[in-house]
Amino acid sequence: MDSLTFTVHPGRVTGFLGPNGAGKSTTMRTILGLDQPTSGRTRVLDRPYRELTQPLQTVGALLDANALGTWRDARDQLMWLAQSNRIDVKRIDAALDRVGLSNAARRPVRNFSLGMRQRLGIATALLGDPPVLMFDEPVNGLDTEGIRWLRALLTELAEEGRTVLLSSHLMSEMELIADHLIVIGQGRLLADSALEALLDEHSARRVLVRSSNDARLATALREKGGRLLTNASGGWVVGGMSPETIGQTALVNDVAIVELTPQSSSLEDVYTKLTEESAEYRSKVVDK
Amino acid sequence: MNEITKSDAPCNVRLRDVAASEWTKIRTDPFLFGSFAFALFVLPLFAVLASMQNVPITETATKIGLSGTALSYFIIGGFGVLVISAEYPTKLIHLSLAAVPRRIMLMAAKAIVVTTSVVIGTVLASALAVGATHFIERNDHAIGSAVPAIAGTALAHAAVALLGLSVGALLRSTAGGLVSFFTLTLLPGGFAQVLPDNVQPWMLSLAPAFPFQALRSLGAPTAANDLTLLPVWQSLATFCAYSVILFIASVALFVKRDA
Repeated sequence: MDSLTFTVHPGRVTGFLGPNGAGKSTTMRTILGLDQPTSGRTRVLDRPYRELTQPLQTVGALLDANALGTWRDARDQLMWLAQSNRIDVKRIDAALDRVGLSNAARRPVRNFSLGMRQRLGIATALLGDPPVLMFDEPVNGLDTEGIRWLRALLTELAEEGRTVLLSSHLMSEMELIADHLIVIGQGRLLADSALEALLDEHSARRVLVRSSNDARLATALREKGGRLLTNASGGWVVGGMSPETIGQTALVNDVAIVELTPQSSSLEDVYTKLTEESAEYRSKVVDK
Repeated sequence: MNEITKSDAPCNVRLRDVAASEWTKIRTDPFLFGSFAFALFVLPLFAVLASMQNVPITETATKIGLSGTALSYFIIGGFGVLVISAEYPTKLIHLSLAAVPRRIMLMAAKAIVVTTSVVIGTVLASALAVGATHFIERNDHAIGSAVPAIAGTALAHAAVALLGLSVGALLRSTAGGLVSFFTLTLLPGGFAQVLPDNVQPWMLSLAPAFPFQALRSLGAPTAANDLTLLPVWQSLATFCAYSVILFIASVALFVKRDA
């Protein structure tokens, strides 16, 4: 990590995005006091993790679902955690119930599938009913139904007013789950903004337009300053103009619009752009 | 959801709760509990087997009854190693430290649970072993000083388990921990034999100070003419000192290192 500073706020799902090896897990481990930064500090509710009076009731973390690969059964796994922090034993069943593992409570965790371990890891995080939650790559190993369940759960947890930080290298999933994004690359902060704002800011605004007279519309749009690209399936992809302006131009020129579709970039496109910019910046710094 | 106060309230995580949680970890892991139970089972098992042999009449029932210690030390040491090293390959240690961020407290809890459970378990198993031997051999052998022998055996087992825990914490690997632990047991006895003749006496003069040589003398109090052995209680004290020093070193490193 390199001069990485960010704050995660309650009431929303904050996505922590970066490719493998970007420093997501290291950041989370540092927050939990497992790794010490060479300089700098991490705070949870204004305190270093090691000084929290109620660690598990303050922060719930899922770091590595495989950390639960023991011969212990699921209930015992939560039992020792509950005992260490004086958490009411009733919370164990509540946590298992919330992740849908009540029926597997007495099965050895070693025999769990990766998806079940992820669920148990989430139950571990929820055990102390904490206001702050951190999940490292919780989507890994979940099937479609599991991903849908996780998405609903995370939204619910954020709506309850909790602070939810969720890391993933899967952009498509993150686009569906997160409200706010922290993007890192090579240990540096690339973006810290709301998902919509990030997409808007970094998307190339383009509109696909097809009409009754593409040639006439093209001439009119060029006159208005539009940048036109040919589209493989007919019509034009117009850059630098809003759909409203294109519609009005068509009306003035007596051309009937057949299709008018704004084309926004996916999070993946935005991420690629951000990382490319970061790499360019870095190479310039190195060249100097 | 918990309402977390930002006041300087005392830490909610208490040593006794962490110790209870560490015992749950041991109790609910079949391999951990299995190695603990097996080490203790060896004592009465060997006692019964030894009682069936032709033992010289000079031997006491206590000595015969505790003949399983040679093996049980190894197993209980392995148990000590496993208590912490088994948490590393699965990264369970991350979860342990997330629950108990005060690392000294976590290590203290592990040490308390390991030594206490080993002392209680060894006292019961040794008493059963000596009792069984006395029951079988009552016509032929005097019972001997059972109470100090059982107390010493229990303390020695606890010290061996603590040494195992320390080695496990230092190396953070089950394989490395076990190999190092067993290598310690071979020093200097096995090592001295392969040294050149002029070095051997020097090595053997240091021998009583080596951890497991000190421990060996516990099981061989009659070998008074063996210069490599210290008197029994002195040996036990030496061995306990080794365990405590290594434990302190392992805690210091455990606090400093990234998990």
